[in-house]
Amino acid sequence: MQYIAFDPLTQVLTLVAQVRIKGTEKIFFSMLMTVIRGLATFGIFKLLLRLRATIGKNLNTRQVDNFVIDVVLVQGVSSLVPMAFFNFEAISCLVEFGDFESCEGTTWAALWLSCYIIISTAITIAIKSQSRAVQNSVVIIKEQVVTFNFHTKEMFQMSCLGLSLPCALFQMSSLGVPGNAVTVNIYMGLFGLMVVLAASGAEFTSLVTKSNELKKRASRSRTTTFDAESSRHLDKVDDDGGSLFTVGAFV
Amino acid sequence: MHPYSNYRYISHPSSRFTSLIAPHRSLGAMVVAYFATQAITNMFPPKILKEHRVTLKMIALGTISSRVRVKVYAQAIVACCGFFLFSQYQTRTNLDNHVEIAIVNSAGSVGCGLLLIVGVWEWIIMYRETIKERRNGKSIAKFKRQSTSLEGIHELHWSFRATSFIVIFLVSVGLPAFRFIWVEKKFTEWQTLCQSASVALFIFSFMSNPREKDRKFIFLLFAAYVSSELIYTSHHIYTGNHKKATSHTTRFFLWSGLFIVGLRFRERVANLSDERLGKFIMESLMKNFLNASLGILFVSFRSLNCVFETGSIEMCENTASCSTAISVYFVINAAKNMVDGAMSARTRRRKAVSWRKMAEFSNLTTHHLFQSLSGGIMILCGMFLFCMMDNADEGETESDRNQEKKFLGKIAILGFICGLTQFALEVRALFNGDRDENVRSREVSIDSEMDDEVDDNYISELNDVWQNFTIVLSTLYSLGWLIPIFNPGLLGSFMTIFFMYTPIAATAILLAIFMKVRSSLCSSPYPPTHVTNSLLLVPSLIIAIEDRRKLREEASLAIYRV
Repeated sequence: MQYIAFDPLTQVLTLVAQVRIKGTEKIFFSMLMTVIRGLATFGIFKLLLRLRATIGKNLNTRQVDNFVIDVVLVQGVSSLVPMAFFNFEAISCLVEFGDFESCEGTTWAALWLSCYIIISTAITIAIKSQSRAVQNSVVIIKEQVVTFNFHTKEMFQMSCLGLSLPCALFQMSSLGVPGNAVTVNIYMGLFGLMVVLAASGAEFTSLVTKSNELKKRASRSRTTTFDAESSRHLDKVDDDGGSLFTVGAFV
Repeated sequence: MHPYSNYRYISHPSSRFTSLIAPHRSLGAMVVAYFATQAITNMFPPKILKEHRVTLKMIALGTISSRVRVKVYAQAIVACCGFFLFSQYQTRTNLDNHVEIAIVNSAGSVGCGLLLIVGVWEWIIMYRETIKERRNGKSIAKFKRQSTSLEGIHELHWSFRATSFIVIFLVSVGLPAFRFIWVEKKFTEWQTLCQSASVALFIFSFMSNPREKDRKFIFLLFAAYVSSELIYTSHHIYTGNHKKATSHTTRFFLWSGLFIVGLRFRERVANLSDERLGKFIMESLMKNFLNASLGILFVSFRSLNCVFETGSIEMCENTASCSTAISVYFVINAAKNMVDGAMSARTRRRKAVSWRKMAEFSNLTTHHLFQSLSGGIMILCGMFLFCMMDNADEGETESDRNQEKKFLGKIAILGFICGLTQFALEVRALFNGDRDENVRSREVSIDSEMDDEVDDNYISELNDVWQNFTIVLSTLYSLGWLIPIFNPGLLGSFMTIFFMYTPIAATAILLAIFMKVRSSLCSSPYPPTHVTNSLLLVPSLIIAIEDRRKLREEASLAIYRV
């Protein structure tokens, strides 16, 4: 609900600020951009709300407790700490050089790194909201990396990770370095962001596919041997850490 | 002699490049050497590897052979070389003279050399053992792996105390003595840089044998530690600088007060059961202070890097001050964790701050809130000072340096006060917990019922305070756009700051969505606008605290009724 008040207000204020700064010449373009931005954030918001609804419906009390404390509070607050650190790097640069142009590179680097952290936090939330079985089937384990035993989707994710890592390291090394040659920073950061988004998208689709598979399997087993079998399966699933969609199907 | 002979390394572009990549090259070589030795070591049979693994318990008790001792010292030197090269690597500047390049190369060579020597030495021994084991069909390793039980550990090996005493004596007595004998201010700067390490070692050796009845060593250690304050006090009284003399006297009394509290804490730790004492010594003392010392080493080497670059510690006064302040924060945090480790599980659950309490705000007292806030401010101060360490003082004027020094000093003191508050509240929680335990043990035992109640108390959503906190963060972002609307001239600075703030606002929104996962099930009407909600942060905090007070009153009434 916070979003409902937050985003339109921000978008309107952004539009007014742009009109105030650039004048009314490009007002149509600014309005178009505002609408696109608003729709994009609205789409993300709806997606997150759906995820939240699924978690709220299907996790049991203990799992909700763990999710809210460990994932949302602890990991959420922990993700704010490196962001604050990157911001301090930029502030330190501003204190040292006194002008914003010299610190543009640092600021961009801080922005990109923070963006990567947000995406990783969101993906962590999405993964942790699933059952242990789904998590195990989706997360890439060390042995897979060592033996290079990947499916196509996992290979794509690993390639994305391999590409985004140098981008992040480059941004890390740009922190605190004076100079206004920010073009490389911007393009590298943007490229890294695209790659991270692609990897996250692949991860998210894997999660959805795996959950749906479990859901189908559960409903199939319900139709065949409804009474005795389904209750036993439910117990098994619950012992396994609780599957969101499977338990939801039975409920 | 050619006038530029000292600068021959920067005379040619190729040499300039060599000087730029020298730290990178050395650090890279060390990383490669480390992974190579590890890869070869891992080729030996797991049984042999297990017998050659050095555990923290072995180090704590000193039950290691001379070879392992050499290995541990070599690894410590390698870590120092790594930290030094990493701090050089982060500066990304040209090394200005051949001496500096020689130092960097030497650090790399020493690091790589020690890694390889220790590795080869170990491989030879492991190879012999493997061959003999194959021939005899049984293990002949000299040092059997020790049991994982922590029951037998009552104190650390005496060498820790001896080393600590020597270092403390050198820092607190040796450096001030050098300063007055040679009248060199730089010794004071060095002492400031080493102060935090000295405090960490003092606490470490102070708590290393809590069951020792004879307190001579402890008092001797304290005398060595505070002698520096006494030396400076007498010097300032002699020179007529009463302000500084008062400052040192105050510090002396502060240390004395902390020492008295420490003695009480030590007695309490001595009364722990054998198993808990072993756990305390290994986890809360050894591991905790090892982590703190690594942090201290890391920031100290950044200061040392500045000293090597500028050639004088006076030029790096601000960087050294930042380093000292951050190191002190590390020590405070380690001390806080140590106090936390001395608590019983029940006391910790009732009295100490935890994420669960923070999440639901129901068992959270004002002290907990204050403690968390202090901890947060200390971390922020530490991060800010760490970022300010990058700034070399070389190109700055005297007035700029003084101004920066005052500013950094204020931040450092703010962090220190917050850290000390956090520590004091943790100590208070420990002693209050003890008192409550004593009272409870004399009364009717109702603990098990209450503990069960606590264990079953699952939460389904975070308290409103957290959501209002995220609302404040996001509202600030929204309202920030009013700045360029009213003053377009601030656009440049505004955009810079907003670039940095955008991800924080986005994270706040993301977390706010998942803070109440069950609220999607109930048909609640839309809440008031987020501007109004953000204004509710303080009232919601007060309401949460009031609720908690009422709950406590009800609980105490219930206990009396029982």
